[in-house]
Amino acid sequence: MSANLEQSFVQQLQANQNIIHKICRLYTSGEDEHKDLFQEITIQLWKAFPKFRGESKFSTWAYRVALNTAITLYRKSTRTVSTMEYDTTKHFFKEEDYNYEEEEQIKLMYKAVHQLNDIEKALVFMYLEDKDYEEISETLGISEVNARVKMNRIKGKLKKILNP
Amino acid sequence: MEGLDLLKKDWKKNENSFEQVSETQIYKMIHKSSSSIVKWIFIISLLEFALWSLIAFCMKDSEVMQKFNSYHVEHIMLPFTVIGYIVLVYFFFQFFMNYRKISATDNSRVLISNIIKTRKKVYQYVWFNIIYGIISSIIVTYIQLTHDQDIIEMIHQFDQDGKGTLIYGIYFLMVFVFMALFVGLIWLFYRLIYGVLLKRLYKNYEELKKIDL
Repeated sequence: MSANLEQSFVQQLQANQNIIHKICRLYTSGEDEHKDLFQEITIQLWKAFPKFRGESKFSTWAYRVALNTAITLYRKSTRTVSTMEYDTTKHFFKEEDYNYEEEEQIKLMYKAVHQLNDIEKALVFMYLEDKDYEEISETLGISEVNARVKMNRIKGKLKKILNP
Repeated sequence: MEGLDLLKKDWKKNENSFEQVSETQIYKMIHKSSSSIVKWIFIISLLEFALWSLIAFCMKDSEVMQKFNSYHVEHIMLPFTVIGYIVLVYFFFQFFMNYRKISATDNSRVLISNIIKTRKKVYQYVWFNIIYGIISSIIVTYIQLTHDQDIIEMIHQFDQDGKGTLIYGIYFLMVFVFMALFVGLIWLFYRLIYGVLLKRLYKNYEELKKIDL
């Protein structure tokens, strides 16, 4: 593949890398795994890049490939991943608006989301990213109505985990 | 605010909190090789096609086959060989065409379905080989019983002693045990390899289908 294509890809990916990081945050539970999935998603995006014609935004296209990699293509590395709990909230609060109770709730929420299955995580991810149901249904290949129904069920499920 | 909306607030607030990967690091990454499940399925499938073809190829020059040639039963064996090759080409072509359809830009359901379809072709080829192996064994046993002078004489001897049925029984039992072992081993191999590799894929596919019921 030409150097130009490579350069254009690397620049666009670098600018949009938070999409991948966010997916890794939901689908992995350790720093090593995060890096591993990040790398696999990058490779899959690069492999699919020649077919990207710029009809949609790079980010929209990247969402789909990245999610597909996390749900389907990624094979968890067999190397031992540190068993230390990866604190997903560790750099996520600023001191001035620190609210202990809310912080605990958020921690619990992250924990609960991590317990969901791969497909449910994908729905939660797109919800957190403010994607509409049309895009959710197109990305996963399910109907819009059923995506909505499933999302409501997940919300209920998470609510129950927080307030048993 | 509760539940997911609370999480969304935190999610948005920390959107840019990730340690950034540099362009140089991305360059390095795209030159590394993928370890995706599709790549593994492709490699294992190629090995399977190679292995089954190799078994058939090695059998051709084996002692048993040389002995067979002396029975002059080419009219039975030739169609078998030809069918074997035609089926190999058919399945390999189908497998390859399905493999080419796999694209990470499809929606998740289509993507998983295409991976499963690709895998299914190899699976069908293996089943064909097992059935083909069983039918061949039956034909080979029959030919041996009717053409091999040593066996004919032995049966004749047993017949005179009134133990003809017994020798047939033992002979078929041996063939049956051998085939059962052969099928059992292949089944075990598949459970192990693909159980590990495809479990998650099937689980996610079922989940997607369930949502759309």
